[in-house]
Amino acid sequence: MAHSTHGNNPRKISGQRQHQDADPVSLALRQLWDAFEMEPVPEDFLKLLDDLDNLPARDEHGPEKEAM
Amino acid sequence: MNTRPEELTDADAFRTNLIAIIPSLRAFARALAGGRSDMADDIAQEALAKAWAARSSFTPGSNFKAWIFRILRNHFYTRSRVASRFVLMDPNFANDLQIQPPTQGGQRVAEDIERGLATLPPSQREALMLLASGLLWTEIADIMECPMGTLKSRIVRGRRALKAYLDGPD
Repeated sequence: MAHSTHGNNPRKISGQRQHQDADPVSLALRQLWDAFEMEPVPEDFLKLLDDLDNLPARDEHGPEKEAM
Repeated sequence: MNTRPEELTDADAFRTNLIAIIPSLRAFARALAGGRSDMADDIAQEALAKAWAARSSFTPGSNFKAWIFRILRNHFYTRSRVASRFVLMDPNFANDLQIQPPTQGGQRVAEDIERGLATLPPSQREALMLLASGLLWTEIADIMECPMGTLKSRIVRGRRALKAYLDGPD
């Protein structure tokens, strides 16, 4: 039997129609990631890069493995 | 101390890669930290320094983004584990999550989804955001050090939970 599952929730219907042809969650995640990436880089990051030469180099084999 | 020209060139190239990756690194740190942006920038900076210190272990031509994301992730979990010995959770952060329902309309979907992400287990949160970052599934599974089946499960459950959060209560 066909029936609507959205009968009492107009907001839900509107939201689903808005992104009818796309997975709204994936789309929103992508937008969020893009928003994060577009934020201006704070100056202390740039200062850190200027100071990199004073940091000691370590001889390691692969990404740091301190957690797992 | 004399520096050979090829070493200087490698260091310069590595530094260029570091500069270019900062926006993505900060984004992943935000995803891991679950909305705690001050903590996110701290761990992103610390990961940058660790990557620089471990630069000799990076294989030129391999995936720099995946390499440094692993460093960031490992550092985040180490730091979180140490912090959890002293502070179980931030009560204000939890209250903020509870009193802010999803907004209505499409304009603030990104804000809603960031709040929704913060309610997810970290493993689901990071899987979803790594996928949003454009990495391949195999690269994500490698970064998260989990089988592909586990990764798929985390993504499916995370998407389902976020969709329920965005839809709001029936």
